[in-house]
Amino acid sequence: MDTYLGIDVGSISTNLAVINEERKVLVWEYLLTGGKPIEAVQKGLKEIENKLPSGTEIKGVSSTGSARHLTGILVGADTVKSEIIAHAVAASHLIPEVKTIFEIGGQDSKIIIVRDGVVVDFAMNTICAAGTGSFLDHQAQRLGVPIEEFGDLALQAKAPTRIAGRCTVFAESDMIHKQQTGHVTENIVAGLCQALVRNYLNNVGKGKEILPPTVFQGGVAANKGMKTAFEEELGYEVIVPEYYHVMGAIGAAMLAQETIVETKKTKFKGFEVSEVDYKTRSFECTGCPNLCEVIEVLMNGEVISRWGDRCGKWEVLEK
Amino acid sequence: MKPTFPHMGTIGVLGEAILRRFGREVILPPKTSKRTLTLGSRYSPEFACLPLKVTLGNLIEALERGADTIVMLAAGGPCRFGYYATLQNLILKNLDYEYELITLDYDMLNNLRKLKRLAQGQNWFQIGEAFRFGFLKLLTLEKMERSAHRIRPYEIKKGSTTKAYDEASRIIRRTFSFRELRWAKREAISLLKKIPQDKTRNPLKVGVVGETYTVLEPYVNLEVERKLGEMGCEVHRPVWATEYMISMLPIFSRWGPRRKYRKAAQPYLKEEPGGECIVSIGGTILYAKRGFDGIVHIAPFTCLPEIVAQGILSKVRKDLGIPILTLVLDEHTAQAGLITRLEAFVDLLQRKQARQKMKGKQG
Repeated sequence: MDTYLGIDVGSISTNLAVINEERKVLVWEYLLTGGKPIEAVQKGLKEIENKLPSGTEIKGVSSTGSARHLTGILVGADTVKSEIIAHAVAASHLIPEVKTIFEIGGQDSKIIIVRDGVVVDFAMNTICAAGTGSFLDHQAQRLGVPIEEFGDLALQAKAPTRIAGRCTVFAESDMIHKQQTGHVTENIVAGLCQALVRNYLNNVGKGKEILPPTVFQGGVAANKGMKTAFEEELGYEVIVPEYYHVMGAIGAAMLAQETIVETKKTKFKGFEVSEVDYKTRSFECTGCPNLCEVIEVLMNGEVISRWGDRCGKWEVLEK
Repeated sequence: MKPTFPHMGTIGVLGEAILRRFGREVILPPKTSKRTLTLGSRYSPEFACLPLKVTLGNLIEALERGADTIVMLAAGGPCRFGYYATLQNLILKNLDYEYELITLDYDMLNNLRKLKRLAQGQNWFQIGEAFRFGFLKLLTLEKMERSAHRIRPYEIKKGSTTKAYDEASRIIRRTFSFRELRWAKREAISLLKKIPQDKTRNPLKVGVVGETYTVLEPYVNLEVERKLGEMGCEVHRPVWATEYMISMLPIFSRWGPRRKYRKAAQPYLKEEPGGECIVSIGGTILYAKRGFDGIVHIAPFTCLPEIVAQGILSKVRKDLGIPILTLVLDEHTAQAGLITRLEAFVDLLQRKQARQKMKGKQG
């Protein structure tokens, strides 16, 4: 069986997905990056290899997410694409008439506007964590509510508390204040969801034409309270796809399939990659006052790639 | 007297050429770097715009190198830029730097007097020739830059255009007479012509609009034009140092090079809110009408004219159906985030182009 592998390495989670020629998801893997992208990718590959039925052949690989370039070099990706395109491709395959995509992940959130299956506009949160998964994570900890139960608790709220959500830090002070004036936890939890939605729509979604059908994906889509808060704000149903948390990886796999149609042969280094000793190290270049921090990737002790310099003098490896 | 002035893209070439022909020893600030930005942000007000911070850093680094006179434009407008000289003067005096400040502004008669002093007794013909040479040199350099933008998406070896352009620019920069410049131009053109190209490609056409300083200064915009070029886009832009200088002259404020942008922007904006707002809007409209694939709009954080432009551009995007990416820059701009946005934007344009091609074949 011919299959395609997509790898999405983000700040919080690393996701892998394998699809077949008909773009059906065969297996997927979701694990925490934990600040160690190389190890996460290697571990994920091992898991995928174990889950795949024997006789499946990986015909193409693609990487996406904030560690896409590093991952691309590691596994020998056929194409390396930004997460915006990966998310859009996956969503518009599953819901072909989709017009708006909300993607809220650990440290960033995006809105993607799609018309007739083509991305026409997008935006990402810029300088602030308010409006991302980290905001909820942080407040859940503060409230002592496990993040997994957060959504269900929010649904039990009868009168959500209004919480100032413009800034993560101030939201916390406001939340503590509300706690101390006697608001019950489920109302606060629902209020937090509403604050996040307001913040997202006002900042990330500013000036964008939000139309149904709207797909909501990314790790935060697991939170039912968030889905409901979006629906209340927008006034129509928001779709959370089955594989909402690995959509980036699915999209990447689809992009790999598209690439292979043109290039025919994959550059995939095989599942053996998970056994190879990869290391990264960095140094400060003192060639000019820019003092760029140059990153080196080493395979079995040998430098295979470098980046991080503005002038490009380290990027080219001398053979 | 050892004059200096801050960098703004290639504009330093003009000042250097003129002052050198006046027989002055010019001390140019070192190339803008992380150190420049660090120094500049340390002594600037937090909410000042990025160009103020970077140019302050330039001035500090030039004073460290022994410059004793600062020549600045202070036009009283077109935006906060008009007050840079005043504010930077205050900051530098507080830092106990000793220098003389010469500002050129709307008072033309006074400007001429100042020029005469800078020119060390040269006559008006010589001064005119110095200006003519400076402009010609800058124009030549801009011409090279323009061809580099056209060639880059076709280059076979990534980076070869940038390398050739850097060399061409070096050759032009070291000329100080009309004769030298003529030779240098020939050499520079042949350098760019030698770049191996793959003419079968069909690059995307992208317009880069926005506030002059951030568009012109590659260090500040994280070399957006080079990155776009290397991702396979032919880059065009309405902002050029020569045009900017000409439009600063009061006699050209109505009829100068900005006229076409003002005319194009008419349906959206009848008055000029200052800065390059009208050029960003007019430029976007003109590019969209010429069938460009997309627009990258660059602005420094807190830049009022470009905030106005950004608001109007979202209407232009809807009316003309052209994708627009706005990048807001300040000293905290993270390279990774910017590259992700650029990559995604180019992906978007490429997929749109591919889709249109497929439709064209079917229809």
